[in-house]
Amino acid sequence: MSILSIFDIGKTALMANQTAISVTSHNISNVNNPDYSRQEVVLGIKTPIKIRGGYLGRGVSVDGIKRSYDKFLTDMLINQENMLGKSKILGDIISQIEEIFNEANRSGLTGTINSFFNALEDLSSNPSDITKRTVLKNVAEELISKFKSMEKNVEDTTVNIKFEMGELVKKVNSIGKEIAEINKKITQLEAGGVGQANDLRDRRDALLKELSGIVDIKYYENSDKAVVVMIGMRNLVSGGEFNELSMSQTFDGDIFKLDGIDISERISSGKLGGLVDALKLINNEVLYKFRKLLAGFTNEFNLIHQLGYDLNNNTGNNFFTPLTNIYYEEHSQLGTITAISVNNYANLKFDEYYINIKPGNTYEVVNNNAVILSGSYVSGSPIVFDGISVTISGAVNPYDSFFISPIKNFIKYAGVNINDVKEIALASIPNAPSDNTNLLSLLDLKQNPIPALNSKNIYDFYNDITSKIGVLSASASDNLRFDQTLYNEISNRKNVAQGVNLDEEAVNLIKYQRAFEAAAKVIQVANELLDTLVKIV
Amino acid sequence: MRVNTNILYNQIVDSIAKKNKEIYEAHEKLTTLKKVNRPSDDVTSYFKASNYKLKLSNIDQFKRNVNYANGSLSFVETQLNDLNDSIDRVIELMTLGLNATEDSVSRNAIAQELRHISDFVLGIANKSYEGNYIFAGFKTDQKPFPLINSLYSGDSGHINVSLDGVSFISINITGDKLFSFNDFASTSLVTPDNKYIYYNPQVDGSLKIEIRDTDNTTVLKTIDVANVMDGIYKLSEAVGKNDLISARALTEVISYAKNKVEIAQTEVGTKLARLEKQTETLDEFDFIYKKLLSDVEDADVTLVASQIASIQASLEALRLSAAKIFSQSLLDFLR
Repeated sequence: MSILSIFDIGKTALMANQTAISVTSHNISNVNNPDYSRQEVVLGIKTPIKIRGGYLGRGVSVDGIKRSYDKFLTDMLINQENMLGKSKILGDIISQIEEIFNEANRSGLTGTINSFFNALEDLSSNPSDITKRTVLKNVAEELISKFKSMEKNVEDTTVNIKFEMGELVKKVNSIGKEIAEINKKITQLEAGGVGQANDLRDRRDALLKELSGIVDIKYYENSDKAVVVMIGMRNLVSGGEFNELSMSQTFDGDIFKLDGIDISERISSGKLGGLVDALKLINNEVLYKFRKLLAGFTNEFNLIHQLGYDLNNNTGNNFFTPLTNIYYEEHSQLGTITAISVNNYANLKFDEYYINIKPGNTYEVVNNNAVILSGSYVSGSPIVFDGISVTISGAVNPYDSFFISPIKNFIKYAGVNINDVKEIALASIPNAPSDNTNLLSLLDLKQNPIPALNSKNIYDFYNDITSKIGVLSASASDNLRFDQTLYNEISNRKNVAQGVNLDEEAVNLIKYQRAFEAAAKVIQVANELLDTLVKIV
Repeated sequence: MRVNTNILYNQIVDSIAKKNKEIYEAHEKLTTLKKVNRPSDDVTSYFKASNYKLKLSNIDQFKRNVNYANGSLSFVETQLNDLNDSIDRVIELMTLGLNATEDSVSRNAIAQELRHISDFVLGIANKSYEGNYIFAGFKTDQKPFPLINSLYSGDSGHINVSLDGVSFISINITGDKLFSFNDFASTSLVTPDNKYIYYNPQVDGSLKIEIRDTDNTTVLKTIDVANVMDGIYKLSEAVGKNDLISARALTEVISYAKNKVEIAQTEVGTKLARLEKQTETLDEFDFIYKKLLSDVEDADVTLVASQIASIQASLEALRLSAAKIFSQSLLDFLR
């Protein structure tokens, strides 16, 4: 037992408190970093030495720097980020779509449909009036262009969604790469169980949270302290390895592949899941019905218009441009569609169909998952269903498929077929310019159910679209509010466990500073003791 | 609970954001004066409002229909009144003309006036309103009676205009009902000097009059009357020639015409009354739906304004407390 050992004890105290001050400073400097977990110095007692009469302490040691970390809350937050990511993006997109259809503060499509019928009705008292006929034609053109511009707005949204999807896929890959890199470093640093790579772990948690906000992930930490991140049961990251997520477009929609395997079905939440859902919603609920609306209505209007006589005593004319351009896709190596046309306008249902080739050289026409027609496939022989005639030629194989949509391009080709307003056929007999009987039949379309519109009238069918969007938008904003509240709650709880309190750190700073001063004093005293002894000599 | 610097900060930021959103929403209501500004605000109210707007637009259209019907029927009514006056004058003149004591000078004068009246009535039969011949049925692009002895060239079309989407009103009277003899009952009568007069309406709307001698067999004379104007014209000829038996035979034509005009006047009068009633009904519905629309979509301005004031107050309190909390930390006291 020598005086020199007091120097050693003082030294350990100096070192320990200095470390504690730097940890405190680190905490203070990260006070506003949301991903940071508060760190604490873990102090230990240095192994004492045995002296006569007992054990003598040898000072303090720094046993580690502990991260205040709650794995459960961190996992919950990462998971909630996933829900929130979806809610946010769905809410954003649906409210964009809702604004396109919102008519609360402007006349909108309903107003234009009204104007169209009113212009028609204005003619009822004087069907041969050229000025009123011109008004009708103009309003009809306005109606068509309203449909076009609304379709364009909705389509622009889908273009943005696809772009955003591509960006998110890039982001997933860059995060995946970074996690793989961090995994490697953590494995190296923590090898041998010396301590935890606190800051790297915080960074990795932050990346996991960001990734979870984009796509549904599952993850766990393996024995090498590296995390394995999976999307749809495939590994995105495994230790230092990383697999790329890719997106490609096919006629079935957007296909996401990870490690060469299609995982599209597994992407259901996060921002990417939200975008996938939004795109489906827009295509199936909005665009499909919106196109069907104009197609069904104009066709029905034409059918009645054809029965009437115009001012030139002609009959059989179309008021609106009839369907001629039928959209189709061929998914067959050798079979091609060689002819496609409308066979009977009165039979058109304006729906979408698949002609599927089955084993045994047969085909099935499928509409809304129901087989509506089947038969033996004969190359070059027309297949007729719901008013459409399709001729497929060439050798076909089972599982070949042909997609037929009379509505997909309908709005793009839509127009008013009347050049001279005299061609508007309002009479039901020739040579009767003031006969408004056919006009009254046309006017009935205002309330009469239209077969192609699920036997609803034009207003009700349109309201169905808008109300669907309205309900979805309301529930999306409810979900967002719920998810945001839950997120904030978890985030606060995590903050309680892991966050930095400046006042607390200020106290610690003083505490360790005082301890440092005291340790310095110990050294000073030891020095004086030594001095005293030296002077004796 | 261990409260950290960030929790406090987040809480205040969140609360301020919430209050700002509330202010934004209240302000939107105030600027649009509507409580429903998009479907998702309240789906049910949105569609109620949209339905009421449609109803109001329809009411507007029906009002326009009623106005137009009113205009064109009033025009018809004026023509019918003129026609009625003309026929009354014909009856007066006819009574004078049938009086055997009149001398040839005054008979000629009567005949001339009758001829003028026949022209005038022809003019009425071919009247047009906004470029359409009103008594031609649907064939409003051509005169229903191009000449005084023309058969009716229009059709029996009724131009129907909707009053409320369900019931219709026809805004024209076809010329055949007024000027042709489709409804003339086949009949015969015996004159005071025991001669016979036979009236045979033809399918083309004209009237064949046969005057037979006392034996009821010998045909003394046949008069083909194409239409009412033609009847008046032929009456003028008969009076001019002092052909009393023909004139006598033609009096039935005039009373038929008188009867037809009166029926038409009643019909038009009833329709005009109905239109007036319909205007009132539409005005009433207009008011009702405007009220309903306002109930579902209009914002209560006073309420919204007071909401804004209260949100404003709590926002200020929040800012004040935030400023107090963040302005100081323990470090301020450790000097």
